Amino acid sequence: MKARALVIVLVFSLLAMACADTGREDDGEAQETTTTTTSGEPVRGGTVVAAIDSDPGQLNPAITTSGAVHYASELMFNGLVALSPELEPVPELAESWEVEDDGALYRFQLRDDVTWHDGEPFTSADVKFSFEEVLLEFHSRTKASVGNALESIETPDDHTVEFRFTEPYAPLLQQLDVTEAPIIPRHVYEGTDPQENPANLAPVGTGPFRFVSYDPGQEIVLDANEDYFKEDLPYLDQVVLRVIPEEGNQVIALESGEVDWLFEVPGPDLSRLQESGEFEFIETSVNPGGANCIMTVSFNLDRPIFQSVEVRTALAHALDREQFLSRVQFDQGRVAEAPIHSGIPFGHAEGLNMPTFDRAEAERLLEEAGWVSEDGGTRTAQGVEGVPDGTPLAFEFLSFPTFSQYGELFRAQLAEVGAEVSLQALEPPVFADTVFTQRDFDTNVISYCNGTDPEIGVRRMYISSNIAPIPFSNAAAYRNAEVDRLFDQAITTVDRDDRSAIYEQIQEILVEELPYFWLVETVATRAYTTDCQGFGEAGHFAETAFCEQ
Amino acid sequence: MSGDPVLSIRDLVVRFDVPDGTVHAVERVSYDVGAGETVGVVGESGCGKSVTVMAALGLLPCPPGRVVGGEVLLEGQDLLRLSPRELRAVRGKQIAMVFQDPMTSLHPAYTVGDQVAEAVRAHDAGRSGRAAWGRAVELLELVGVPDADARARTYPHQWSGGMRQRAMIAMAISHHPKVLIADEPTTALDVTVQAQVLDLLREVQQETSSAIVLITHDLGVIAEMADRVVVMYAGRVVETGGTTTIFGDARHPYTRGLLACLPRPELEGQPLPAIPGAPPNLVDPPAGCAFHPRCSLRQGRARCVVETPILADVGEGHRAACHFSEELARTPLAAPPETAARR
Amino acid sequence: MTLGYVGWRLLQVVPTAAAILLIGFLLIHLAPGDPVLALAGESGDAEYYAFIGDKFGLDEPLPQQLLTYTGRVLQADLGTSYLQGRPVAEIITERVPATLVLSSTALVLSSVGGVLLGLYVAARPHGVRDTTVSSSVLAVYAAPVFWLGQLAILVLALGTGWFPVQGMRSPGSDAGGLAALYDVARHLALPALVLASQEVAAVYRLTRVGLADELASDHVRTARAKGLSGRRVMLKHALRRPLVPVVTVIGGRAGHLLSGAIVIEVVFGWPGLGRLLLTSLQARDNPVVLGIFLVVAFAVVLANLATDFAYRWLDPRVRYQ
Repeated sequence: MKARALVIVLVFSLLAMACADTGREDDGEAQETTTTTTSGEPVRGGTVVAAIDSDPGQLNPAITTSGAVHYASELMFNGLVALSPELEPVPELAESWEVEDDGALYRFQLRDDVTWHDGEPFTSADVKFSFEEVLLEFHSRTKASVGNALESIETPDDHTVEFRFTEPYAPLLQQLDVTEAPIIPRHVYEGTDPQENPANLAPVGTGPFRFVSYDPGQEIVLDANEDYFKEDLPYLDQVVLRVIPEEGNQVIALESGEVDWLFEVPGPDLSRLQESGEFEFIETSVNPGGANCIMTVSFNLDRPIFQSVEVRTALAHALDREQFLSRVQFDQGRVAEAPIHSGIPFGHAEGLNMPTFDRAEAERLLEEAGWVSEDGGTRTAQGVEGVPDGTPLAFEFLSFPTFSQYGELFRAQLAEVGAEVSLQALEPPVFADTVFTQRDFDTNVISYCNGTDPEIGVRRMYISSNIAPIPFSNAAAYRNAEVDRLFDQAITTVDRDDRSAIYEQIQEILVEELPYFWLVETVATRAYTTDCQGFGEAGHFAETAFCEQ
Repeated sequence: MSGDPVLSIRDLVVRFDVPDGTVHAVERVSYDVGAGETVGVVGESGCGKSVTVMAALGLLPCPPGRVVGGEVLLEGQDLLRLSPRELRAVRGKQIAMVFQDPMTSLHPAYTVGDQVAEAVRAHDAGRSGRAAWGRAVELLELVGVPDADARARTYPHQWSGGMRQRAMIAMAISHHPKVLIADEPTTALDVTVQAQVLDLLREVQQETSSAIVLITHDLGVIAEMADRVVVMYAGRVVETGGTTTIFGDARHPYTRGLLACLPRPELEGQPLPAIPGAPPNLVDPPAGCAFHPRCSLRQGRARCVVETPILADVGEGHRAACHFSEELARTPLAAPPETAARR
Repeated sequence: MTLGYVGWRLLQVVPTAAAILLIGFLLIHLAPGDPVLALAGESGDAEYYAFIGDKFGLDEPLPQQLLTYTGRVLQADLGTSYLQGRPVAEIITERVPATLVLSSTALVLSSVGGVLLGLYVAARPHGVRDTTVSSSVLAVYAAPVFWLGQLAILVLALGTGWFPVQGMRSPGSDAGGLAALYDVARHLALPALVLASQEVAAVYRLTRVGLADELASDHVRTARAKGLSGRRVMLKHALRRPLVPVVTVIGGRAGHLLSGAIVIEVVFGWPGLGRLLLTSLQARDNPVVLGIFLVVAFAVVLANLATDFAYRWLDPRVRYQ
């Protein structure tokens, strides 16, 4: 019958299609392929396909802090410096620098052998332009931190740049890498609106890889920059950044060989990938979208329930943070021992009096504070200031939908001490509006990223002047004049040890007062095929990578 | 009737499997159709007259229908033993059918010309589309459709009932069939149109020399058209014979009853006679003679219940299936209806 | 009839589009949350947010924003995407081919497949064929499409290696011509099949039921009596009228499919309008969202128009109503 014949034809053609080679196409411009080596001797050539979460939309990292854009574009650009894993600055576009006037003047000597991908020479004018016209206008983090302290940028000659500050500005060197301050070409952007310049879709940079094509929604293809100023680099011929929105499918793509590198392995799949023996892993807390992030619970200090420090301490004692780490993060990361992330060594304080998991203590403190419970149910207020008697210890917990598991654990753990928590998941724009603009919340969990220096992502959480309808500002509405003063002092203290001491003081106060409670430091586990090695952790991950052929 | 019959139905048995049981729709029906003659098959609704011919042509839905036994010989070839492909070669070519309701019998989405041309090409695949159309128009003209070429380009719902039936006839005669089976061809039409269609059938028969099997419940049509009559009741043939003979000397009580039911002008003002009772349930037919529950001739005699009457000769070319048919021979019958005089 | 009629129908798009725009605009702007977060990221200060709000006119009163937007649309300017800084029309145009390819393939597969299955079963109803096909179709329809998609990937892509795991083309592929076509076809197979599987059920059932009715009709009886082959009877005579409700269903779904099958696109990483709509909604990139609404409105109207013409062809009596 006609129908049957049609079905047979369909089946056969499907089979025929399927039986073809599923391998990737090789780039026609491959360099001469050398034989594979077993040791770490770099091999030239080849392509690495990396999976990214979402379509960037455009490829200019200087006008946005969006993670998607930075993942996709950082390989094409450089900052004045790069940061070592210990967050120490190493030369990149700048080959050396001096700090003068106790940190009110930074002078950088730029390399003279750098060219843009279109052949134009890189000069100090590009740096000045990038900051003044672009970064300090559009890059929210840099604008918020450097922008407020900067007095002027001078370019005495083509290869020297001077940053002058009104007062000594300590964190500058941590804010000059490709994530925080990528340098873009003046000759391309001058006189245009940086947000609408078509070069945003066909970028010109100085980085190890140059732009080839951007297929919106699909992939970004980059070729090696033959004239890259770092000698011998890069080893790879090509990097393809593939948009795979479903994280489960990223893993499948890695397993099937369609993709070579994942920026983040989802917790549930980690052990399986590890057991297969076909992949290598890098654990890191540095991400182009935000570095050194801590899952932090905020208490809305404007609400009477949370105005007692005993209550806050009690609730902190009721939380078993190890459980959060193992259940939600699959043991990736660590329990936060201080308000400042351990990834910022000079900022992270040791030996603080962080509340430990102690239910008995929690209950004791609650009772003392006037929250009594008959027969182990939800506690009610008895003589609590600002709270009518009989009010139950019940409040709401807000989070992004992706963090809802935190909410569930939070609720379960607090139920054990007689607190009743209701959960609400809100998608990011709504969350931002509800928490920061409306200030209509009791508690929440936020991934506050500290950045590469406390000035970037820590300060904004605690200073009273940053209680504002701005996302990721001081959610708790914490006001402490001493803390404000200490932060102001820290920003102008250039000496590393002195600064460290100030931060330690701040953190001691914070741990006493608990406007927030810091749950876990999150990390991302990168994964890549064992055929390749030499990867970096963050934006320039493929700069020094090479693969067996 | 001279020579061998062109179509011969012999002991055909057809059953239907329904949820309530098995319907004995056609029970050992036999009749012949001679070349060029018109045989009228008459009976009430549900007596099996349509099922017989449908089964003969393999047009019954099978489930739930089943041909259980018998033969249908078309010039000696048993249609029931033919493969589907062979049977298709017969349908529309050697035996053609015209159905009762031309509106639903024509496909609403194709033009009438298309459908007639399709009939032409069904058994003449070599003919080109244009040639087939030309032939279709010819046929339509033959059956009296005015302005045939233009009309053929329109759709069935734009045609009147009578015209549609003419088109159906055109399709049926397209290959000069040996037998033309018309199943209630005029029932759905009004009286004036009926006459036209019947006239047409007669003309067509003269043109093509086909035999016609005219299935109807209308005795008036039989009187007008048929050479011979086959009377069926409850899936069986109860009487066959020449038209004049049947009308003048019916030998089966059912036939008599039918004839008595015909309205006659001299009986004006009096209630119409009717046959008492209702046709039997064919899932569970009565034993013996199927008509016995309603028969006035029976008069309580047991033989009618016990023994099924066979179709036996009661005269020259005249047969009836009744144990007591001679008794009717002595009973006068009312004069045949007026329409017979028109012949 | 044709040209004038088509023009008249297309003109009817205008009030439809206007209504959709208005409602869409209101819905988006009345929903909580605004684009500032997505645009500015998480680390700005007050000045920065004010700057962004000002640049995109986000602080203007609602009626004024609506007026500005309507004015632009009337000049065929769909505005600029907040997130990408590019004209919305450009962004949408880039994504349309991918969605068209996916949805039209799925449409064809499901329509043809559904009709074929209906024919196959109607030829021999109530038997093993019928039970097998009907229950399989129902099972596939009932299964959540996300699950089906993942299953397809796990089994047919990862498991057997017959098909790629995701995307529309092989990574880094710059092949052209026939090789490119082949590459896309291989990537298209699974998402199109999974998407089609959701649509087959309706088409199949309508065809089958319609055929069952038609096969018992008088005109099919006539066709058989004419001596036509079983195949011809089935395809030319019986299939014609049941196609009317089938076309209705297909036409109704076509508009929906054109708006992008979001779940499929996310699961398979297919770069179509559906995903764009999702990400734009999440980031409150309003110009893009409204632009997509408009495109969808057009698509639905066009699909309805096509359905209308199909009716007239399938059943000429419709013309005279």
